[in-house]
Amino acid sequence: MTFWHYLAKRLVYALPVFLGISLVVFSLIHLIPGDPAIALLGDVATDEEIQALRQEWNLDKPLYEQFGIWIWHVLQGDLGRSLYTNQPVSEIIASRLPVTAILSAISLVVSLIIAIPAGILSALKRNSLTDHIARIVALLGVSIPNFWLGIIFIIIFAVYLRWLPPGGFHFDKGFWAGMEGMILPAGALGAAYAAITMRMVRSSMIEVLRQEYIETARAKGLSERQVIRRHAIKNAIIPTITVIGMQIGYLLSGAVLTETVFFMPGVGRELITALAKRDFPIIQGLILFFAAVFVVTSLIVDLSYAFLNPKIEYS
Amino acid sequence: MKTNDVRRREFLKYMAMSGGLAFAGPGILAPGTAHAAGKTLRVAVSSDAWNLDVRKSSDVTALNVTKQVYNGLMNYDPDGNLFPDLAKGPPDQPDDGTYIFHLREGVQFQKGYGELTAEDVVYTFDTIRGVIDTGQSFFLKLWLGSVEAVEAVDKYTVKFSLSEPYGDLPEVTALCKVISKKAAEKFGKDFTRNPVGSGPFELVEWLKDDRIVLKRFDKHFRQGIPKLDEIVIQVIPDDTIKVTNLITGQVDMMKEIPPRNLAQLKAAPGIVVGQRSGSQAEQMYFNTSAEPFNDVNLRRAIGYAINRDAIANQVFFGMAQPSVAPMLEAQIPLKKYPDGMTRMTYDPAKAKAFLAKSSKPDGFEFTCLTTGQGWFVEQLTVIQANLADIGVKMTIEPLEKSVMFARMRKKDYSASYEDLNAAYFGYSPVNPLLFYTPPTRTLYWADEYGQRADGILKRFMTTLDVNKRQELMSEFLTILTDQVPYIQVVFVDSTDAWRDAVTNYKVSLPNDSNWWETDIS
Repeated sequence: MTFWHYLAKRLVYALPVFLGISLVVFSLIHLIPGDPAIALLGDVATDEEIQALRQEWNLDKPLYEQFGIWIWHVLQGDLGRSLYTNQPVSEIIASRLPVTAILSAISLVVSLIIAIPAGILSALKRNSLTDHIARIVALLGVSIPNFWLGIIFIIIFAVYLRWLPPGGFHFDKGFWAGMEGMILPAGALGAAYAAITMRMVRSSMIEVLRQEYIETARAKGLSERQVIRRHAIKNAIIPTITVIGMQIGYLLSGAVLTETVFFMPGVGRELITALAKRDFPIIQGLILFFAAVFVVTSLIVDLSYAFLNPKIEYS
Repeated sequence: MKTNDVRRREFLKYMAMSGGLAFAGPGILAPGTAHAAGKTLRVAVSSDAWNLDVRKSSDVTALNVTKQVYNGLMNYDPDGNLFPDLAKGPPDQPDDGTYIFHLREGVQFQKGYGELTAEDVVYTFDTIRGVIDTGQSFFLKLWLGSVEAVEAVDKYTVKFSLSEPYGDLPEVTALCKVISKKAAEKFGKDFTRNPVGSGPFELVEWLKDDRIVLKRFDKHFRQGIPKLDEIVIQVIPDDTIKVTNLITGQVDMMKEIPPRNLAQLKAAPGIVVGQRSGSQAEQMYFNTSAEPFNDVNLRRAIGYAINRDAIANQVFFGMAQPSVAPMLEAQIPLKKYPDGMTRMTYDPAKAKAFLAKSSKPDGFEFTCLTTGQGWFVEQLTVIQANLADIGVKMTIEPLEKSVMFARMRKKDYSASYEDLNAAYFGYSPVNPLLFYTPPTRTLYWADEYGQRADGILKRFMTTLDVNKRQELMSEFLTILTDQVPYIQVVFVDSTDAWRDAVTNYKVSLPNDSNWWETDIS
């Protein structure tokens, strides 16, 4: 099977996945207690006013009809409009996506900067004190919720030490101001993924270091540094890259909480706000968007694996 | 070199380039705003506005923004006094069913939408009332029930014709601020994101959940207003971060000080704290249509068991005052509570006496709904302990607001705790519509006393004489405080904090901040 056949097949398989996700998301959202009309109008409104607003928002129609209307529009590229501001959901996503993308990208880089050297070192000094410490830190990193870590970072670095801003998105004040504002959220979000990646790098390195070609390289007289750099790392990184690819999707889900703690105007925080207001079109549109990111990144990872490992074929 | 090697190198090259973009990306992608040079006031608020169409705005941030962007025929000053805004003076009243407002001439709308005339006033009120169908519903219609017609007598004169006398119509015009007909027709439902008023500031940017930027409107009709060039309203949900940002100078002002930070801010150098008695009434509401609280003696027992001073001091750290009525004394027509009103204070002995007379003399259990936001759960924790002292067990059930309101509408509750009667109307005589309790409202007062109270409020609405209004309000309060369909607990103070570089700012209600004359050095 060629690359293009494989790509086409995967894209076709993705359609029922999206449809299933849409149905599940739509159903779950409408099962959440709470009425968006009451959320907006508050306590003073009469039943008639609430009913009028529900009618304006098409919420008085049967659920299957609401789903049909929505999915028909989605297939035409229209994710609907916010019940409150009437802004197109696609516009909301487009305006907020850069914040989440930047946060995710920087978090990913931070996690790699920590994870790759730590994983390599841990593998080279296997079962030493360094290895044990690295593994304990990795375990903590995986166990500690990133939103809790974010709050601790804020308390220490922003409130007490006042070294860094406590949150927000500051690129409007300049590149370096923006990067300064990203240190804490990217650190909190990247820490957990650094732990996961570090464990992957470590086990991959250990596996590679056992291979015969490594012994051959040593036997040829290469220094240990040359053996590690030219032969071990390159091959150990390959499985790690696929893990990294999958993490992009998980970073987005982690960004939901991180953006909320650090009050960053990304898609994650928009989802939290929309949930509180029961702004159904935004909730549906965003969750569908997250699902799309997962599907696309897993597709890219699968496609890239064949590039990296000649033993892999498309089938 | 094998083809796969080439592909692998290319792939890794692209991966490295992507990593580089992760750093370069922010400079390319990040939204930015060219902020006006000059005097900028940065205000920290807890939550974003829901929408900025003044006909629909109901949340605190939106009301604060629309206060700057729009004008009404009448308006409120920071002390809650009504003053003519777009109107040249108080309205003429040729008879009890007619109000005539004379507009200022030459008032301009923002963004080049021309002069504000009577046509815009008529359009504003007719869309709210539903006479002009915009495909939207506006809850402000509730306050215009007796308005039969709004007409432009000439370019600068507007006449309101009423089906019955309505003493609070001038107050209501302070809520129903005037919008540009041309802009509203152009934008339709998108007007909420493209508000056009005649206020001293115009909206230039709204980045949801991040900031709202207002810029001075140079053609505003009041000379010398505004003093500021720009206001940046920054959304910072976390109280600790808001306080930190104020102390470190990253913002110039914060709205609604968290009670536990009051002392810290008062002691912080360079920070001014403004505090005044507020009309946000914390109350416990009963479902009077079902057991157990269809029994008035049980309601009275609960009322006397609550230690209001403890709540004011322990939960609000002195930022609240015990309340005996649902509105401040300053809001009564003659500024005086009636002598016949029951002033319910902390009296466990009286509470036990009423419990003994009730249908549950040996004590009982009930669940109290509340919202998880704000200080309601903390207040209920104190009340829970107070009630335990008289043999009543209360379970607290925090819910989301819309869920709680939905249950109250379905009468699926025994008691709830919130601030439902928070004033929209400043400190001026309160609009009785807030206290109506018909079956279609969230709060329903089920028995004959409720019907009597609603009748009194209806007569109050159509009475113009201030002494008669005082009599009616006194009668209403006497019945209310005797029958206690809901219990008054505390009034929360209105508090803001700002850097001492900010001048000419006065604390008003949380949803009625006035930055027209505020300045910053």
